[in-house]
Amino acid sequence: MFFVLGLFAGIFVFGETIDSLLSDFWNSSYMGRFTLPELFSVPTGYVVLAIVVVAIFLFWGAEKVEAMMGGEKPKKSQTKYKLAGAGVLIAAALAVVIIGQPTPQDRWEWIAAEKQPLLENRAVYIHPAELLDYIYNDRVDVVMLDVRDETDYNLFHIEDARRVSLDELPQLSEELLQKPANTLFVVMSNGETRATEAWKILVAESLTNVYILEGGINNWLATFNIEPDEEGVAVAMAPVPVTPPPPGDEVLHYKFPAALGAQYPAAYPDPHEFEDIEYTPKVKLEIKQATGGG
Amino acid sequence: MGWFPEFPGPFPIEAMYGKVGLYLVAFLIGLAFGYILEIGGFGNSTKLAAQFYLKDMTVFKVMFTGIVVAMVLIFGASGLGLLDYNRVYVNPTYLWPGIVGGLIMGFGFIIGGF
Amino acid sequence: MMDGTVKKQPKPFANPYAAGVLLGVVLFVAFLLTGSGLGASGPLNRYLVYLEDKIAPEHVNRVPYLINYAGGDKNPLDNPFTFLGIGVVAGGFLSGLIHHRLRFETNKGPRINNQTRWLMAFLGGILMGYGARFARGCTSGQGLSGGAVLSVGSWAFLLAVFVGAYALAYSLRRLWI
Repeated sequence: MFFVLGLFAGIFVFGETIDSLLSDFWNSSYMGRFTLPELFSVPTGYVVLAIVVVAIFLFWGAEKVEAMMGGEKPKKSQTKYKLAGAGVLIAAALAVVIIGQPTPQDRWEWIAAEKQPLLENRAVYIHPAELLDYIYNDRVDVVMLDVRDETDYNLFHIEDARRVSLDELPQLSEELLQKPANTLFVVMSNGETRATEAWKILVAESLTNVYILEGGINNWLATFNIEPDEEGVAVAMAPVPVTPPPPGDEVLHYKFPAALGAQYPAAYPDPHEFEDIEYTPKVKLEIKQATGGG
Repeated sequence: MGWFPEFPGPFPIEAMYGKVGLYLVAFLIGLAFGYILEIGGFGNSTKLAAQFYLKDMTVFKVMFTGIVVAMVLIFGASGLGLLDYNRVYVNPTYLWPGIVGGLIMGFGFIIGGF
Repeated sequence: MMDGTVKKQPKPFANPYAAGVLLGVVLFVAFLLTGSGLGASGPLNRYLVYLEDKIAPEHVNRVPYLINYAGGDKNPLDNPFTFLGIGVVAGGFLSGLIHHRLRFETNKGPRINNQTRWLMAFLGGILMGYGARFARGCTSGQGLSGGAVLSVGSWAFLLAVFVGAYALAYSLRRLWI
């Protein structure tokens, strides 16, 4: 009874003081979702096995200590159950090692039946103008992932887009999963092929609200590229379309005067100038299931 | 979608059965948790404190067995595609506050029992 | 030969390993069904903030930490953990009832009196409550749930609890043995 009162008092004191006194420390050394397999860079299965073995060893040690300190003697009759239990645990841990943890490929196959139609009916390909609207939407946080090669990225990319290779995506997805629920993820490449691969990986890693830039950077430039003229845009600041467009989906359809990255005006189009573009809105923001701990 | 949610878990209980369903599930899980803690001897403070005088390692045994068994089940299920580890809540790491809080709790454990 | 009037003796506690296995299974089911583990201090915190919000809503809305739980119209009890907490208490009582262990008692060592024990319980409670919130979870929320999903912070926390307790245990042994 007194203990519970104390508990409440402690929790109360904490709630009252934490913001004023210690909040810097309380919020320090934040490492996000950080797990032991990542800490030791070994596959999850081995960590599980190691912990099981250590645990069994510690149980054995604990019983020795109990006996030494004059506690209850372990009953002989239980020994075989304990051994059996330890055996089952180790076998199960070995099984976890052998099964391994799912690769992005496995994970995609589990959900392919459900998610493939979204690609086929193009429900997740969003028009460049829709992306632009969301970039300027204060209620939604847009994370743009550019999965092209470094060369193309350096030539031109949308402002604030982050370059990431397909191989890095599964690792990165852990960080992306921590983003707030109102985050919209948009993957892009020159065309759509590679972005679609990236989409599959992210969706397989359970990210929600992932979309693909329709037609890729080529389509973005076609939509927002500003013709050079005397007053406004200098010739040096305008990518030039290549005619006819080179074959292949993942090839840039534009020539760039220099590798200026996001410095081209087309990298940060003015939403007011393009507000007349019509498109079919496709983004449906889903809110993740709330979780928490005690 | 039938009445039973599809694998892999964790299941969208709230979306499927509403808040009441979610709360009922939470209550039942809590019920089982409380029951097990009690039969394990966690309701008796002397027994809990004895842990720290090395006479009775019950706390350690129950907790560690629980962690290990749950861990094997979770990662086994994850490997088989029954549970989506990416959507499971993993306590975010705040290393030093966690350690300091742990020390404070340890002191409290000894002074107050549980 | 049995005398019906004799009070039933409390049954012995279950084998710790057996209880541990059951605990692990429940923890796994919790993760499978809801995506998060178990907690004890989280629900307590919510009940408390609820009371504070009833008594002094203005105050709650000024403290950033409390706003999280009960800012504006938010009801801190509108959360599955609230019900989990009720379940834990109910489960404990149920088991105590079934196994005839339900009674009012003060567990302590033979060398101190009840008042000292109660005072200490209160002090310890304060520390535990404060520590648990400081670490963002108690032994069940951080240690058990976080440990099972291999969170680095939770393992550091678990170690710290045991280190803290053992460090202090010797000097305070009078309380218990």
